Amino acid sequence: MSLIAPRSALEKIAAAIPEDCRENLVVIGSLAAGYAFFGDNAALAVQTKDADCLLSPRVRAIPAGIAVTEQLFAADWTFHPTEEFPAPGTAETPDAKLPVARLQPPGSPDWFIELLTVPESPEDLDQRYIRLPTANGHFSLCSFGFLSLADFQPLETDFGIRVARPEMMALANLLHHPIIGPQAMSGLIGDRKIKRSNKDLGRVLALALLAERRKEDTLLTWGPRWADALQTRLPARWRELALQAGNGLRQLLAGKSEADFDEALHTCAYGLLASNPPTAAFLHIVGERLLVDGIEELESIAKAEQ
Amino acid sequence: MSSLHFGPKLPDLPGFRVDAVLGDTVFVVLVDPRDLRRFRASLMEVARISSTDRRRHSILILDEPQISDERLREEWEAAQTVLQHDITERLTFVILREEMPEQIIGSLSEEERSAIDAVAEHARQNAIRSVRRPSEAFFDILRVLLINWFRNSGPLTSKELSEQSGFSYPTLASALRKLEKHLIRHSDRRVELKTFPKDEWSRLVANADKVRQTLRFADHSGQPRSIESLITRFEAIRFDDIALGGVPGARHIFPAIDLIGTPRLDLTIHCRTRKPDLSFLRRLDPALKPARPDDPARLVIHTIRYSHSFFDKASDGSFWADPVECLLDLHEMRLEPQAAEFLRFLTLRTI
Repeated sequence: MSLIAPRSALEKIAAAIPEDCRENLVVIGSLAAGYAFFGDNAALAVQTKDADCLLSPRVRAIPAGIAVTEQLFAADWTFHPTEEFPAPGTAETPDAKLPVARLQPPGSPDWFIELLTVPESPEDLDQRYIRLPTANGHFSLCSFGFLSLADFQPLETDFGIRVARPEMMALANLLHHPIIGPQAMSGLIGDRKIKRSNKDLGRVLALALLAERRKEDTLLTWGPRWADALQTRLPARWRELALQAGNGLRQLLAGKSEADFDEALHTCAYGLLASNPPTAAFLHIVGERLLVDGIEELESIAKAEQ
Repeated sequence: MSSLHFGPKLPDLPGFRVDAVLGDTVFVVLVDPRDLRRFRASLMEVARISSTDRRRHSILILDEPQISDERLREEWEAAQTVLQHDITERLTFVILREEMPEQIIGSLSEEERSAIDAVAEHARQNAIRSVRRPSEAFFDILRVLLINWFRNSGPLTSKELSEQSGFSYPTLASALRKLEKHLIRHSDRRVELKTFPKDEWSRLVANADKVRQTLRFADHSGQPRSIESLITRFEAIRFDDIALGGVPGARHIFPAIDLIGTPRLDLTIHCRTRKPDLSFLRRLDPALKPARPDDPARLVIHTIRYSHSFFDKASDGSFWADPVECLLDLHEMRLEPQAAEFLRFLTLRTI
């Protein structure tokens, strides 16, 4: 994990990719949240190791992904190797063995961008990999779950690329975890192994906290925008999804497992809220505020339209 | 399974009306009982109900009694010594206290037990008026007279005063006697204030917390919502039994009052039942929790129990607390110069 200034990182990414691909790229994750909440303050940084870049729409994902990857290599960006994937794939590499497209900027091995795309169909929530054949090797472009919500009405940056709205990233995470599942993250956060649900729901709480810290009563706007996004992107299932969006968070806040909530808190302290970590009590109240202002509002919209 | 019927008369016992009936079980509820005489009378009532050929099971529920459990048990045991055994074995006695497990003396079926809360709640909601101590009744009547005076409503008949305050003629008469020197009694027996009753007002201010059943809430988040946010949220919910008072309320009545900013949110709840419903607090801010003695209150709730709320309905549908509530709020916030200024404004309007 590195401390990265969101504004300069986005500027670097935007400058490195082809101009005609910028409109197809939406940055999501910590960097997007950092830009949305304190992009105007160059002194503030987020703790992250990657910049997740969503290629959208799906029909443009492959050509844009190829163009972006090749141009980044041309600008001396390099493949970010891991133990499992030490080098890019080739035409002979089976789809399942392809590395994801992770590229690190020259001289900055501490962070990298990772290319993703939205699901082909909004109803397809499973993790899918599609081959990204470039002149610099073959990669895998991943799509999963509710990524189609993350690029709903994204925020413009000063650099021609866009960033996901914090509330849309929060909604995608909420929907992804209707219960707190047992699956743990592959890596450590801080020095701890954390359940994926707790990490993602902790992220939701961090986004809500930062949103309210930046502008009071912002959470009141989340429910209507969530409803709008669900109706637009997942029209066949939007009511059902709206009514289950809060289930995982309610479970986290219910106090049945202090260990789960502590993992969510730990995630915040080692992520978006590293510079000013909240207490457990405050993070809990943030969750309750989000339930009342955002989730219950979404539920009431869904119920009213039933 | 039998169904629960609220407030029926008992056909075989003329003049008997109970709080609820479930098959051959009757429920009698005493809300807020404060004296043993009432309890003894109710014990005899349920014994009589259980003494008929119907062999009913009578359940006497004491909801938030102001009498100790020990005294209640003593009375219950004493009653058993004078009642026939086949009657006492058909009597059950239940004590309900907030945040305490219910106490049950006697037997209850599962069906009866599951009906207890609904029966008690129904009785609370249908209490003719909340039980008020004589001193609280006096202060309520004083406040009603002041509101009418400040609003230039003119003199009131005893009937009007009784309807507005919810108190009986003897209670009114007693209060009016204490306020005699400040009253004009008209030839048609209507009454109104002629001067501001300073001493009585000072006593009211000194006892305001108890009289108004004031509840204070503080922020427990460390990142408190602004008072403006709380007001906006309150106004968005739109209650017809809760009104905005305090500094905004005073400003609504007297826009020129020398007040800048709003130190806290003061709400007045018009509640005829024992406990006001505070579930709306969560929608204002889940971070608001009961204040500890040293916590600065961000939200203060006062309860009025008169028959009339005296709320002022604004053109946008929102409700404002009466001038007496707002004046008491200013005193409570220690805004004494502003309270004096507000009182001058209100009394000038009576001329």
